[in-house]
Amino acid sequence: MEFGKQTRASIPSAVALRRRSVLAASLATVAALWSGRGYAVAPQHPATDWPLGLDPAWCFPDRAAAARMGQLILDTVPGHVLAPLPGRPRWPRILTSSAERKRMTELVSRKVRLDFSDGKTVTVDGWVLALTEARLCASLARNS
Amino acid sequence: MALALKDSGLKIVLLESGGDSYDDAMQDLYKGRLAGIPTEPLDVTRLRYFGGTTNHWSGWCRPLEPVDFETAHPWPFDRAHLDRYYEKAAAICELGPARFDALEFWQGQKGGEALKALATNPDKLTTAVFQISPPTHFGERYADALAAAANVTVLLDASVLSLTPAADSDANQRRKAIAGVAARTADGRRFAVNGRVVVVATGGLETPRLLLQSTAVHPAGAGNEHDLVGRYFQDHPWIARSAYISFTRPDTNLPLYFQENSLPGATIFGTLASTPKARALHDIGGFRIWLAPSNRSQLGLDSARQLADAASEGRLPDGLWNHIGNIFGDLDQLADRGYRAAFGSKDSPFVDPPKPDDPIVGAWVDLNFEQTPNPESRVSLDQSAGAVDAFGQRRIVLDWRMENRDRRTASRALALLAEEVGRLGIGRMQLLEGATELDKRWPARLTGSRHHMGTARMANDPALGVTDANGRVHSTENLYVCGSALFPTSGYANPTLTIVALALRQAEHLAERLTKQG
Ligand SMILES: Cc1cc2nc3c(=O)[nH]c(=O)nc-3n(C[C@H](O)[C@H](O)[C@H](O)COP(=O)(O)OP(=O)(O)OC[C@H]3O[C@@H](n4cnc5c(N)ncnc54)[C@H](O)[C@@H]3O)c2cc1C
Repeated sequence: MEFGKQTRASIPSAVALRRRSVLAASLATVAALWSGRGYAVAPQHPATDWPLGLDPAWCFPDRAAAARMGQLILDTVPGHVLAPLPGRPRWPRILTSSAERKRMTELVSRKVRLDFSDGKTVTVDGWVLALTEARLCASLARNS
Repeated sequence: MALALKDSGLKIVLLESGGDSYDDAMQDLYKGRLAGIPTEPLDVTRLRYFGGTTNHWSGWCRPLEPVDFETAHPWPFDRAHLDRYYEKAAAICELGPARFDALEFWQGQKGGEALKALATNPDKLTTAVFQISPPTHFGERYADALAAAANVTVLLDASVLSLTPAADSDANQRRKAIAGVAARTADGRRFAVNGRVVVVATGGLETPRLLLQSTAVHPAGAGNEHDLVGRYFQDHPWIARSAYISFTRPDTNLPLYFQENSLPGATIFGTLASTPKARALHDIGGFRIWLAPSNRSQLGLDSARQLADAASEGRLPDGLWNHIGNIFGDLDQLADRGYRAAFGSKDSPFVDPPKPDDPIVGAWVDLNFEQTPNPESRVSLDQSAGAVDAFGQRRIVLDWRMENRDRRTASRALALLAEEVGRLGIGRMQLLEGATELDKRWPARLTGSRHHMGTARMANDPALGVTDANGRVHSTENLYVCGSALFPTSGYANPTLTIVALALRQAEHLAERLTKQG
């Protein structure tokens, strides 16, 4: 298990992440969405940058495999790197429309690419994963 | 070099230890001892007969990068200075035009249309195009031309034993001169060949051996006044299968990187390589990554191989790579759809697979990198009892060493690749056995690339290098070295194209020097 240097420095810093996201002009809308500003259905968890309405399961076509990966992550990655893991979505009713899900998955896809771009990666059993997807998988494993 | 001097009016004698084909007894002269990092045996990594190691080289060619000339171990000239020699060297190695990274040029050729580069972040990774020589076997290919050159005499079965000092040269003099060489045939007949200059061109291991053996020129060996001969030995460390990329698209095909692409007049192959910015930012050396595609039908075989490797290290593979597409596929498909907009690329580099029934599902990652010049990494004469060859010459011992910076080069290279693979939505990468612990130890399968460099390196200051900018031994008026022994740094490109370019440059220098002297 290893963490990139940049990852360690920036994991607890939701504020920095938000500032960085805002700077990425092309992703400005997404950043606003991600940080909870201007998008009422996805308020942010107070302690993290995690959109509360997101159900990790929407992101993975094969939930069982993703959960297996998630279990591997939970077993090997120190909790503070992943914490606080998103719980079960609080407002699944509001976000159940397929358009909303798609939008949320797109958002995650961009966030994952941004993680890779910033070197925010987690290495587990050799797999180099974006921090966001590692957290999603771990959340899936914990909540399934 | 001899052919480049064929119209110079100079008389050239080319002494070749071997004959015109492989011979066990001659090859045995190349045996030596390995100390330090294990690599292939010294009689396997080179060939001792006419044409030398080019009788079995693979033909990968690329010039060094401009940044390779400007490190803490600078070359005495810059890369631009070598450009015109690279042009000619490309022709000698039977390559196409020396337009390596000009992808539009290759795309304009018949069959080159699909060769697209990944839109990597230029701060992290770049596409470096190699050309593949047929490969030219220099002995065979140029034997007739040498025979036809009236001013060149080739002597086969002529093993040089040592360099002989000129009558008026004194080992204590600052500036020495040599008379020529002492040589012998396989059956023991000894003879001398004298000349106005001697050029030692016996490869990156045998060059220091010959210099160190020449104690009549200087007690520590010819050119060894500053104890530099044989030091700074470099190879291109190579970790085959250091990682596996599991593609999230089942039909991923990147022909530029996956195969030798034969175009009219040239064969090219794309690799992913270091950028000057990443090198400076992380204080690392150069590297290049070769992707070997893995098809669905090969996956069982690959997995079996992987299983054997993993089991030998007490670990079983998790098989997750079979599921990566299922886990991250949707996220990456979105990335791929957005490829054009997101990465400013006119079109996606993914092309239709050649065999849809046998899709490419992943790629093995072969890492080749530059090591930091290190004086403790060295070739010396083996002083242990019995370490002599059939001609009574001391064999060599190769103590190949690397530094912490080299570990950083290897691990950063893989990290940068993993990040780009994820960012571009290509898939996810798994570091394989040993590659997760590069900061602690080298993986068992690390080996050299049979590129022997740096052992008589060029430097303007005699205290820092054996030879000057022309490859002349600093302390010896008329002694030259030719070959990769001259390289102060080794970059990530294979050495032969640069060896040829340097030889052409030296030929020009010698013609000027010797014809002026009359
Ligand atoms: C398997 C393999 C694959 C390779 N693939 C590539 C590649 O893809 N690209 C690339 O750039 N490079 C490659 N190389 C390296 C390449 O072969 C060498 O860089 C190149 O051959 C060096 O040329 P050279 O003339 O300096 O030395 P050599 O080719 O080694 O020639 C030295 C010559 O000196 C002769 N000799 C030695 N000692 C004496 C003596 N005492 N007296 C007289 N003659 C002597 C030898 O017989 C030989 O003919 C490869 C090497 C190997 C082993």
